[in-house]
Amino acid sequence: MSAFQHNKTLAAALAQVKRQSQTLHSKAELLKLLDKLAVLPQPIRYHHLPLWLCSAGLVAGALGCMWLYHYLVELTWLPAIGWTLLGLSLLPLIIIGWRYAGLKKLGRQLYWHNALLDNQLQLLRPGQWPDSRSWQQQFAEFDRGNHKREFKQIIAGHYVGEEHQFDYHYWHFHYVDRRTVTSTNSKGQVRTRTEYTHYDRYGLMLPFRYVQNLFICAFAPSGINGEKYQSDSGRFNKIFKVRASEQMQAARFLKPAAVVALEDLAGQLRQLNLEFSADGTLCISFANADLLDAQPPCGLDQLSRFRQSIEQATALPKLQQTLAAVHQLMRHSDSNF
Amino acid sequence: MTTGIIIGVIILLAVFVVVIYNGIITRMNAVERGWANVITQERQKNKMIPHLEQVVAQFQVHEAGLQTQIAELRSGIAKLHSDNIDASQLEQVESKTKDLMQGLNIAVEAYPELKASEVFNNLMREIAEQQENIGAAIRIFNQNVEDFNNGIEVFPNSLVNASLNKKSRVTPFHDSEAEAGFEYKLK
Repeated sequence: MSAFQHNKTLAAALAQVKRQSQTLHSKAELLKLLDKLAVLPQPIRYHHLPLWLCSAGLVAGALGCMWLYHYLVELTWLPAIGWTLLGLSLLPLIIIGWRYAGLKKLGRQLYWHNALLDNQLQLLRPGQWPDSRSWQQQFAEFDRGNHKREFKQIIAGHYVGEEHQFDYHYWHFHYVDRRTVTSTNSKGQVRTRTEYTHYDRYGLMLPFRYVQNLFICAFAPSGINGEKYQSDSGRFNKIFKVRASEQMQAARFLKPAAVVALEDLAGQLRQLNLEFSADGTLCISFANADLLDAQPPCGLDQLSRFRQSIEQATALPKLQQTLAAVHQLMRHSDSNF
Repeated sequence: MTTGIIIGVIILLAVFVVVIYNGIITRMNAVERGWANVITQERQKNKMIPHLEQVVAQFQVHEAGLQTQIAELRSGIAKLHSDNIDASQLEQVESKTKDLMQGLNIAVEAYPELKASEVFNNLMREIAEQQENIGAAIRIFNQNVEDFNNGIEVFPNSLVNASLNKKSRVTPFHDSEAEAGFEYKLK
């Protein structure tokens, strides 16, 4: 098979796998997708020799033009042609890099979908999202960004602990701050320009009916109010600000075990906030983007090893630790009688 | 000009000393508050003891020493005072709690109807959670003690403490039973 034909077949197969990976429902379906890749010539990689040769030829052409100009004929347009050929020689290299990155990205995507399936998580399409607009009205956490606020991703999950089980949503929230900057140059001319700064927050939304109207914030948004409360732990007080509708509410919730659990959780998650709404929903938010991070041990070019890693259960340790901490908070807030 | 600079330096120094002095007092208060919290959690356990005795009596558990262990734990908790930081007394209470929990576990094995009792299981879960809270309160107390000890021992706080606050080091809580299991000993 020619390199062109091989690359065409491979690109078509990869595109199909990528398309179908968006609608995976089970591990069996994912393994079937990998079976489709297994029938291709192994290892899975593009044949780039023609592109390398093409690039080398163009570089040689460019050098030839320069040599001609310096040693034989002083035609003014020769350097321009030389530089053009040198520029064109980059194109095959860009294609090689783009294909390599695409293959690597597809491997990571498949592994990530596998991690979602292993952890009973379901990536929701925007049409399936819960009412994120009401989240924005209900929680001060989303009162950020004066230009743009949007949810980028929502994933549904279910946690089963020893004493409690609950449904939850993992969310990725993006917001943009806009500000006008005025500067004066050396000639005294005043110029104004608008700057946009992009931020991302991540979090979990879940039912937590034991506490209401309580904010525990390490990265306080505007609009949190209530009575101040300080725990017995100096370290906790350094990390978090606590506001509650009544101090007693905070005192009842912040038992020593809860304080210690939150101190530990703040060690794992940056800018951690917990917001308990009036209707018994907990919004945990933080700046870490890697809660659902799963890195494959190898790429699709080592398909059998990649398949083995897919067959094994993939853990999401940060997510599990966070959910275990939430479960611990529930255990200490409920009544045993 | 020179006098102004000297007065400025003296005021700055005085502010510096006041900040350190207040810092030491704040940390000492945090230690006392942490200790009071430990005692509060221990006393919560005391509230569970009558229920425990009731259940043990209801199921006619005649395990030797169980009643004695309950009585010892009760008297141990009574000796803890929130105004006197006494880590050794706390250590004894914790050790007695461990003994009682072991005694209860033995009783559970011997009395299957006790193991099946919902009231008993709820009680055990409550006590286990209280133990977790006590453990956490002790950790918070030890953190506050560490902050306080650092606050009086580092320079220049040590100078301010020696001449003004005159506070001495607070001993953190050590679980000697747990430490006995380690070969490494902190000198």
